[in-house]
Amino acid sequence: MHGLFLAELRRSWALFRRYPGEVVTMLVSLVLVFLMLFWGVRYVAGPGSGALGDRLDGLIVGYFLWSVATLGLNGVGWAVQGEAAMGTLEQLFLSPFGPARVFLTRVAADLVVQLGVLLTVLGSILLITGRTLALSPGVVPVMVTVVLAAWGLGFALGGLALRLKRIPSLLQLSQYGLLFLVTTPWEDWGDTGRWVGAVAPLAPGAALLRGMMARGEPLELADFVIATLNGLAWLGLGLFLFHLAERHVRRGGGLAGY
Amino acid sequence: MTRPRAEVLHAEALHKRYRSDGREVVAVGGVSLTLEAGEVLAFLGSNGAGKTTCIKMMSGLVRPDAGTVRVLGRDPHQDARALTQVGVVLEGTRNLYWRLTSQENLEYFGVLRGLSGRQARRRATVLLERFRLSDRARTQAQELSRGMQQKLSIAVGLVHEPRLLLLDEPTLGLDVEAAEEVKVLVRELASEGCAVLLTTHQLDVAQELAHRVCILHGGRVVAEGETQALLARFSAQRYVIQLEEPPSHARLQSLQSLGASAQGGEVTWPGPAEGLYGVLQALAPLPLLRVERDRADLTEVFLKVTRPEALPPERG
Repeated sequence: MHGLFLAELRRSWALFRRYPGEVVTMLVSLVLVFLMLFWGVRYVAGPGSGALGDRLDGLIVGYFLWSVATLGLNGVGWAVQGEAAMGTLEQLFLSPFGPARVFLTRVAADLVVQLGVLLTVLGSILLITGRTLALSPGVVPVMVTVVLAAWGLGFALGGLALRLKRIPSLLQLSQYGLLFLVTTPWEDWGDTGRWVGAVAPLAPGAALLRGMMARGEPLELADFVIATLNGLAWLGLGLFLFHLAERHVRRGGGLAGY
Repeated sequence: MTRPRAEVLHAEALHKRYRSDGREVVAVGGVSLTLEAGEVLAFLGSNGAGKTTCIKMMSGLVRPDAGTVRVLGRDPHQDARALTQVGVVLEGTRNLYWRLTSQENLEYFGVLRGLSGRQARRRATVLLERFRLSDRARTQAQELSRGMQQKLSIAVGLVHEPRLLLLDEPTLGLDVEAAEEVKVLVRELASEGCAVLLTTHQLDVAQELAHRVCILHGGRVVAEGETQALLARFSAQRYVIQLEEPPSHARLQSLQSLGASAQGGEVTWPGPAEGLYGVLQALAPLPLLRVERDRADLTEVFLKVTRPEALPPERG
């Protein structure tokens, strides 16, 4: 497994450095989209909105999380479709590791390789907007819970791509769904909101990070446990759905013909 | 041609049905075959005969509805270790990452097939040299010629030193030189003990390479056996004698009385070898260009067992 991770890391790095134009385009578009969102919110709120500061910081945290989560979602959902179109999907199914382990290792490697770009995006956003965020080591494990849930959704979509072959519209739509999940302040919406926020994918981790990074709150153990359980449950569900889809295509012979 | 006897692949009574347009279609209806180390088996059939489904069932990609597959005694559908003994090169260019170099493809797929990083690097170097791709080690797969891509695909299929290689149309779309190189490679692999299952529509390639032939039609095996024995079985009992010039009228009558016929300078004897000498005596001392037994090729055998109506009636 360690060897597979290193191989995926080398593969991801080779593709990353081979096309610097794509990296720059991704970086610039992520920053531009955020700035439009950020200034749009400020314009709509109008001058003198005292409480908007926290919300804007929360937006920055949510947007950064969205970028990280999208990477995980695409790492399986789009990748299954892309590999199938290229024809290499069957080769992954021929691996003794099995496709789920290969894709799981791949999204982890992609995250390591692209973390630099995502942190550059965050730095640029903070620099341009003049905002600051409270960063502590506790942020990292919470972020991991969000990433796990995002991978779970990616596997669920990957499973759907295996069965239905082409789901580009759904994959695109799901990115907006992710944005909704990580930027919605469930914690401000009373008991029902808190309950939904504990169950919805990515939501508890995102709420925790908003509190920690935007409002400087300490890491609450109970909230962290909920976020961890949420991440693991969604990852487990995604892997289960992917496994069902894999079994279906192996029985139905539906791996080719994309 | 001596061949070791270790059984590498054993497929027994494989069945597969698919649903298509609401109907159930039998893709494979009870295919059994074995493949030994060092043996090349040509798996032939028209489009839709069930070849690819069989290959995918044997490699663990498609689960059979019924029947068993064993690769060196292990079931590829149950035991992942079986997959470390199988190399699969699928038709076309579906085996490589276009944006990775030759070296990167080999190293990546080596680890994916269970090698350590170090083993994969060592195998990559060995295979690049063997397949004469060392000078293209750092070239992206998409920039290689079609022949080089195919060689790299085969190298990727061999990176983990499998005992069984499943090759789907390995010479399709290649120019003469590249196709020859691939054929040499297949022969070498077999001589090293690798069992090779080869599907192809190029029957001359199959005839040239395969120790055994298995012809599939409508999801069932309709002919199977040693290539030479199969060709002999389907060859007509007939000899052709080529003369330098057409025989005289008198000789023609003599030939006809023996049961032979002649057209121009070509005399045909449609009987057993013993009778041939009588025909040759009737022709003596005319100069002969060649005497040969009529021999079916794989195309004739294939057509005979899959589409008998496509052959002229006098053939066998």
